[in-house]
Amino acid sequence: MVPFIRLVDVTKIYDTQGVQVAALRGGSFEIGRGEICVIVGQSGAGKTTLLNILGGMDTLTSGKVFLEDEEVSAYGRRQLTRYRREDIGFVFQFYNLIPNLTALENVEIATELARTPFPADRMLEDVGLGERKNNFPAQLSGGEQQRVAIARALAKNPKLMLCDEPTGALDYSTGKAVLKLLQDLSREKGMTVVIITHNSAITEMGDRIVRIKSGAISSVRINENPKPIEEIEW
Amino acid sequence: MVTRPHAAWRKNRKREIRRSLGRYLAIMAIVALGVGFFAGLKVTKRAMVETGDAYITTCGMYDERLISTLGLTNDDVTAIGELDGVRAAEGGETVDFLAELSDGTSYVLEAHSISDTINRPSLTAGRLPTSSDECVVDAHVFDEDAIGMRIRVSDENDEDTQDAFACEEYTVVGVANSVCYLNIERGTTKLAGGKIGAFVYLPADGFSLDYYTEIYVLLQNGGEIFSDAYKSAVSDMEQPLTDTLEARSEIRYEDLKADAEDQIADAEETYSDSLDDYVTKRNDAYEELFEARDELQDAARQIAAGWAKLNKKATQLDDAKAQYEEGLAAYEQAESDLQQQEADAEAQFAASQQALDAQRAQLENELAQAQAAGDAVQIQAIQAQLALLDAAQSQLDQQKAAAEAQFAAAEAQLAAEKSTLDAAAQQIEAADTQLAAGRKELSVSGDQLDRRMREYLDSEADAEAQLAEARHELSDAKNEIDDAKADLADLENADCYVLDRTSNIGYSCFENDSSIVDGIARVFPVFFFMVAALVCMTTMARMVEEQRTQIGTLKALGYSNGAIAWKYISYSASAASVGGTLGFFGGTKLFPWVIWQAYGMLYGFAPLVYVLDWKLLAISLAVALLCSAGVTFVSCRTEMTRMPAELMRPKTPKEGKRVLLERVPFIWNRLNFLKKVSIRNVFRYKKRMFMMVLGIGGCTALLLAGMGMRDSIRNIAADQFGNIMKYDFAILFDAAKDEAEMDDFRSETSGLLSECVFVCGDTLEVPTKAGEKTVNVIATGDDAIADMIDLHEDDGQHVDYPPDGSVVISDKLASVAGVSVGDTITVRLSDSTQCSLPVSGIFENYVYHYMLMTPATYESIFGKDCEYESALASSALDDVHDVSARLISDCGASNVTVSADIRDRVSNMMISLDYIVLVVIACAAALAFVVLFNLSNINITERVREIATIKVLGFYHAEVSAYVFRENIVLTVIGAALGLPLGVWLHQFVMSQINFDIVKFKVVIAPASYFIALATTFAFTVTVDLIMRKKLAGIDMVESLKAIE
Repeated sequence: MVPFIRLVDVTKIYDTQGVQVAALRGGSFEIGRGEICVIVGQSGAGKTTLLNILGGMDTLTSGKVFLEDEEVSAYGRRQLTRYRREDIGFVFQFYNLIPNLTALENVEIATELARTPFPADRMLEDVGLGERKNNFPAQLSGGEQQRVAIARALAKNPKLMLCDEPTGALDYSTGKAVLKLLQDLSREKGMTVVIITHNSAITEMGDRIVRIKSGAISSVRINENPKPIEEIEW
Repeated sequence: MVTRPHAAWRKNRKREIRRSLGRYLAIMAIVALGVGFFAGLKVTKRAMVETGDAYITTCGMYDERLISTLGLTNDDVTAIGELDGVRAAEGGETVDFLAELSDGTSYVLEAHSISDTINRPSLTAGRLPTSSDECVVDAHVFDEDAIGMRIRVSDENDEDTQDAFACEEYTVVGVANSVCYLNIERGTTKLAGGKIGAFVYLPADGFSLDYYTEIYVLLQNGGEIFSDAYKSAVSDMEQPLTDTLEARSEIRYEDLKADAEDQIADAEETYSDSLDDYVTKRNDAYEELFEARDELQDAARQIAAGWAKLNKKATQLDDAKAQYEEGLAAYEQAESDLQQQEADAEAQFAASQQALDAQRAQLENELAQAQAAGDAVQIQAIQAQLALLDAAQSQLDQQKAAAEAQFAAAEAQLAAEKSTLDAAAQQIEAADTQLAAGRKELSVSGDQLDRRMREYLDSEADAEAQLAEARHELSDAKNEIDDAKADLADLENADCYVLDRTSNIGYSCFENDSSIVDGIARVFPVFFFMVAALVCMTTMARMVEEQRTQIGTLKALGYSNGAIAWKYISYSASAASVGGTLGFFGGTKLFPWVIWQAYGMLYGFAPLVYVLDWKLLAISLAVALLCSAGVTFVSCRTEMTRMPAELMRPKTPKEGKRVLLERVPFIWNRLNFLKKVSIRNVFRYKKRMFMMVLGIGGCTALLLAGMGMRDSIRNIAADQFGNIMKYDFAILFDAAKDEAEMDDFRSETSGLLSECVFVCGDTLEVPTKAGEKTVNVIATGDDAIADMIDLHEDDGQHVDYPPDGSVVISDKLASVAGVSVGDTITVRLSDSTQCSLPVSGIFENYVYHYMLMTPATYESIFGKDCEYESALASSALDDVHDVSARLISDCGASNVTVSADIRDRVSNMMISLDYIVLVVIACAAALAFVVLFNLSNINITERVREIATIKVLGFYHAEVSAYVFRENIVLTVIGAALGLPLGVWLHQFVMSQINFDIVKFKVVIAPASYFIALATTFAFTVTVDLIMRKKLAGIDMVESLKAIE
């Protein structure tokens, strides 16, 4: 089976004012379709860098990244934008909703871009916020905002969902609810979800667990029996 | 508690500046603009006044000018000079005259005497005169090519004027400006046309007046021009000077009167002496003539007698001649008779002889025969016949002899008669010659007599003529004396005037014009400072917001509010100080320079003196600091009062708000999604929205006002000379023309001119609130004037030519004098009499003031007939200068003003005002740029997360740009919409402040200007957007999204 996502020898070196910082040092791994992949590591290990490269928001110094058959790492600017537009759904730690738009409009701003989007209000209902469509982000709690963000990412009908510390700004129960949502979505819709976290406990929900340490992939483990979130405690 | 500054703290501050250089420069720029404008405009008046003051002081412009209608003397000068408070007094001579220049042109010039102390001319080329026939001319009218030209005092001037000059011709040796003519106005005169073309300065001995036309006075106390100190110093001296002057003029009057009386007495004496002389001489002359005449008559008589005698003798001679002729004829007749007789007799005798001979022969024959025959009878018969024959023969012979004796006697008689006749002939001849000689003599005498007669008649005629002349002169002299007596009786006491500088046109115009800038200086800077304050406020508020966390951290570390606030205050204060200082020095150099250039056409008498007004700098910086640091302080305060922890937490995001437009589902639902976003965004950041609208609106307003200024100014020349004063030429003649001469001129120039209207031109003054205004008077009875001057109101409605007794005036004059149609206007003539005239119409006009009237009105005002010395004419030909030259050279015009030249000159004047407009436009551009740039910057930095998010979402670059800049466009539209009416108002205000006396500006904005103002504003917006796009592209999605707040 052709792996859904393949990273080969990915290296990222930042060069700022003569100081070279290697964020990633030649890491390689794969992710299968429909998997929940949890990438875990300490702060500054390179998780976010990895996610950014996967998400087409940053370029490699060397190495390759493949999505299905496409070599994403070879994309030019415009192609990267298209890649992000159509193939990627991103969920941020700090939700990053457009403050001036209602929840529904926040999702719509994404559906307007995608080629084959899901209807925005349905997505909102799917994430349980059907009632709150017309509220502005300022009127929503953190968890609700994150759910809107997830709806936004999903509505695009992407090939891949990338979540950068989605529960970082949320409290325990809300965070769990969000993770449950992600898990359900992956299971029900067969969405490939990559979650970045520093919280090792969460790794149990994933199908594949990638550990990063100081820019290098320290381990890649297939989790045969991912746990449902409700059962995970931390 | 204030923290002591140490290295890290200071480094923080310095790095802050370097990091956010754009922001720093934005503040600097806007403050520089505001201060530059404010200080620049405010200092311009100062600079102009100081320049004027320096020039006036260097040239020694008079403080007071004393005039007396009877003239002033050296004693008067001394008397004035001795007054308290007078530093110097000098007599001056001023004479207006018609001049002919060596290049063929004619001018009306005003000649002044040169003085070393007062009213010194300021040379621009050449030198001052060193001899009495040299002069210096007006630098505004002539350039250095004029040096070497000669100026002739025209014979057209009246005697008094010609006598006033010591020389007939003056050579130009220099070109100068005169402090008495600060601007281009040269003044008015009674001479042809009413306007002085240029001034000319002559040395004092170039004049030959025996009095001064004025006394110039310099006062002890003074002050800067236009200042209150100066004005009070002058008014203090007014009374003493007036009193002295009046006293002196009394004296002068008495002196003149006494002088005149003496002269008249002398003249009368001379006259009576001359009269006596005349009578004596006349009598003598007549006596001589009579004597001569008698002599001549005698001579004539003698000659006549001579002729009579001669004639008698001649008749006698004629008789004698006749007699002689008769005698001769008789003699000849007798002779020929005698000869005839003799011949007859001879013939007879011969015939008889022949007959006898024949008979004889026959007889002899017969005898012979007979003899032969012996016929004695026959022989006897024949012998008897022969004897008869012999007897006959002897008878015949006797007869013959008797006849011969008779004849001889007759011949002798005849011969005797002949000799008598010859003698008589000789006598007659002798008498003839005598007679001829006598005739000749008489004839010669006769000629002589004729000559002498003619001579006599000539000398008689001469004598008569001389006597007649002498009589004539005597009677003229008598008349003169009588006139002089009458004049003396009319002589009134002098009118005296003490005039200060405010009566000098150039000076008072300069005061007015230098104040104009002050008017503008009131509005513009306020605007700029307001914008500056807003920009600073927004920028600093943004900065503080950005660094919330940092502030919180610093507070947590233990830094005091003051110290932290000081970081930001010092940031903006330093930016403002630097900007303010740069703006100050830039503005105080640029604005005065630009405005002085603009005024250069009118003034330009000296290079500008730049003023460094430290007080102004202090004020400007204070205001600048208030706008920046003060505003920063206010922004900081709210943040500073919060607890550190609060500051370190992310700020609660601003609420989204529903926009009013959402309540209109009709429109709202139709909008593109992204457009909805933009609209909401626009109204979300009210302060920023307000600022952008203000900035854009201000920019549009400034652009519109600037372009409007250009429009108002630019078309003056075209409007004035195309729609109002439609004539191509204003022609001046040496002398007034009557109807016949006008027709002559018209037919003479029918090839050159298509139309020619004769007018009588003059000037008078109208007293108004804003001072005395000089008005050009045009009087004509020719209806064709309507083709030359189109009278209409500014809405185009036609204005009729005034009827007798009324006048039509130009609109600016009407508004300055506070007069409307139906009112009366008060006018003052050059001899100071006043009268009031009803105004029947007011017409649109842009340059100078005009008053039109009929000849009847003119006569009633000026008390003299219209003298048609000028004409307004149009030509269909293209080369107007050629026509003008030919009018002067071939058709007897003495001066021709080509309207096209004035139009060009006015246009040029206006072009220099374009400088101001360019500066305004440049400032508008700078304003727009800074505001837009700054705001866009702030916009982007504040919403960097939002922008990064949508980038992540997959917005293409163009879409991202549109997302951000759509708001800019909307705000630009709103701003421009508001800016247009603001611009119209601003334009009207500025135009009302720019008030040149001789020009009325049409407050108009061309439709194209609206378009250009809007287009340019949008262009700026788009440019800024394009620049900002790069910044957008550079937003690092990764970094932006990592930031906490």
